[in-house]
Amino acid sequence: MVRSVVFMSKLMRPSFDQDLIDRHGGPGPSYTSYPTTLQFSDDYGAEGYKRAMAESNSLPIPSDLSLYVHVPFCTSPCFYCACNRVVTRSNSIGDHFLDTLELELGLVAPRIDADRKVEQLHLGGGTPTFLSVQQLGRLTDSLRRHFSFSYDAELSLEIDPRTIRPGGVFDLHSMGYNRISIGVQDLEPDVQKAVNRVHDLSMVSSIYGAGRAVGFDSISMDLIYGLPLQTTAGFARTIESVIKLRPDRIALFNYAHLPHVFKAQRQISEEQIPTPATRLAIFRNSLVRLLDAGYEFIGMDHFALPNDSLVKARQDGTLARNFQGYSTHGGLDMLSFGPSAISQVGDSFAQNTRDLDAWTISLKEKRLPTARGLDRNTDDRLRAEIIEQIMCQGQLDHREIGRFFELHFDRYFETELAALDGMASDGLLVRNPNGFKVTPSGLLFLRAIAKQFDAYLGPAAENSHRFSRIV
Amino acid sequence: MSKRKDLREAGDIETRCEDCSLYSLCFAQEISSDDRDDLNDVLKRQQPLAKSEHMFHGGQQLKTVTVVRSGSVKSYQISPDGDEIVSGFYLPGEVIGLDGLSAEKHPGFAVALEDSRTCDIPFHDFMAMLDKSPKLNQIMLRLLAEEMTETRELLLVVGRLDAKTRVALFLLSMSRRLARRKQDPDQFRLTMDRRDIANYLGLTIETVSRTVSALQRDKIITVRGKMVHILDRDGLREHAHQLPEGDDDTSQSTSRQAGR
Repeated sequence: MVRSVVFMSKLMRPSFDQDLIDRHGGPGPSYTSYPTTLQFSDDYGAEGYKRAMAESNSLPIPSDLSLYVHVPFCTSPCFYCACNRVVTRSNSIGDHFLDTLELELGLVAPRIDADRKVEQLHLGGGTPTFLSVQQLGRLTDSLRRHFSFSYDAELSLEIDPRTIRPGGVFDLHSMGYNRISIGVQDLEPDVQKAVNRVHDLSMVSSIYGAGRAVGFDSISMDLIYGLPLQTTAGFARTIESVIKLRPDRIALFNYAHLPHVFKAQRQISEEQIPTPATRLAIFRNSLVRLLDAGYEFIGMDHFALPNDSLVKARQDGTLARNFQGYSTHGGLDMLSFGPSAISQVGDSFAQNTRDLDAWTISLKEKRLPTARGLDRNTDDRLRAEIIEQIMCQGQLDHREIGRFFELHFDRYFETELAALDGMASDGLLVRNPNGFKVTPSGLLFLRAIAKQFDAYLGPAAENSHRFSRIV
Repeated sequence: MSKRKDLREAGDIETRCEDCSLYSLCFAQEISSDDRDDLNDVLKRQQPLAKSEHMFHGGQQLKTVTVVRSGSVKSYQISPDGDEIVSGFYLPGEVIGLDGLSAEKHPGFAVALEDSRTCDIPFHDFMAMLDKSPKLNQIMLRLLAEEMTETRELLLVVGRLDAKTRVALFLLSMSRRLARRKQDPDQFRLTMDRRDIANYLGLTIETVSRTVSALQRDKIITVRGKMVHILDRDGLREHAHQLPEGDDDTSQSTSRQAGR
């Protein structure tokens, strides 16, 4: 592993060690929330969400807002998909969806005080670009009618390069979107065929080129490793193509093959999935290549160029984690719309019903479509803070946490701290007088370290098979 | 005496003031043990009030004088136009109902801001105790004086001062009252809705939040959820146009405690 060029790195670089991966790379949640969605309860209901919204208005400084819209449609199924979506080619379904979404906006927005500004908007799916440019315009207008947006709000959406023309990217920019995320996944034709998502590099690069030409603040690309028929050589070609384009951010997701949970994945034949050794080699090579190409490692599966706002947030300690992954902006209440969308308001999580029809009927009857959720208690809040600090800052200040939550940290977390001993002796973290700091060897295991503080997932937790491997 | 005791609700294990968790911040610890025996005989420890539950309505006959045991209570009036006007907040250890003593009627409404517990002293028993105990008179006079100070300050605040001064005075007042009852004066929960703060101070909710944010940006306070942490008390006093630390109620209250 001799690097030809030495770059000035802003952030600590993770180091890759096979032995450590064998020992600490087991399954674990990605902690886009704590507690994780597994703890959500059906008893929570719309009343819980209403209470949380009312409470959130009452604070001396109510949180500003992050909006998420789940567009649940795709024109064809990608076989690796673990998201909630409906495969359709119907043209009118988008309009019906927007009609219903406006009902949802009309039920939620009046419950939120008008002086609370939207700082972030993200459209995910499904495929947001399943909607036509006109429909996306209508959606954006509706959102702006119901909420007031901060002048420098981050507006982003996921783009499937097969469903939008470069001209559409210009339209998105004029609607106010300032960041896009392009779903690339893999550029090898046989892999694309095996996962039923075929688009050549020229489609990606023309979307990317349009995005650069019109001046998006940030362009991100999503890649997935561990897909069927992937090889180290093939994925290296994909990585090279992506690096050549030089997107501001790259997300390198690890495919979790869970066909018993996600029906779409049953289309993938297990014997085509790369062996754990190949998968690791792909990850190691990609990691080394991205770092050599000047990308900084943010955490988990996220990389960014040194001048990207994620890197700055990671340095400043303002990096946060939300349902969409890493974010530059913490402390926002997230209001989410569409089937299966999860809101977080104060210490309350509320998830909409996953079913498109049930979501539609509920809203036609003027009822909030909240299906399940959770109110965090003090212990949840405490652990959520710890887990976010580990995931986002790679360190923990015991004294600060103890002072803030008025407890004796070392006594409260006696068991957890003992469990960290093994990780400390493996060199994943070093203790200091105030707490501990994750080392370059530990950076790939943020989830495993965070998991030690998860009250619901002991080492022998029975639901551990529901998560993808950490590395 | 024993008959009265039987009347208390079953399940209330704190049968005497001395056993109450609030004892150290309640006026009950300041009166003589004979007076306290009388108080114990007449006191009714009430079932918890739920959040938003009313204690009494404006114009209602004054039946009891009430001590807040836990939680907090908001008092308000209704304007001729039917609008709510917030007139004050009561914290644990504070006494509600003194403003109704002369007319024997409650001038306004009282509602729990959170799940709260109270102790009620029947009005006539309270008056009888006042006849007997000079110490209790002294204490009540002090409590009335405290309330008058708050009210005067509010008049001044709403009449002439800018938003930052109003909010600073409000935070200092909360802090001072907590200190008086031996609570942490630098870190406390604002249990009231920001609407209540706005209403009380005669500001809009936006202005309250903007002002609190500005104080936070200036590193004078930090706010997380409803918790307020005063980082720079002198800075806050400066905003409130008060003299810096040294001559304030916090020290007075400690010396009062020490002198006892």
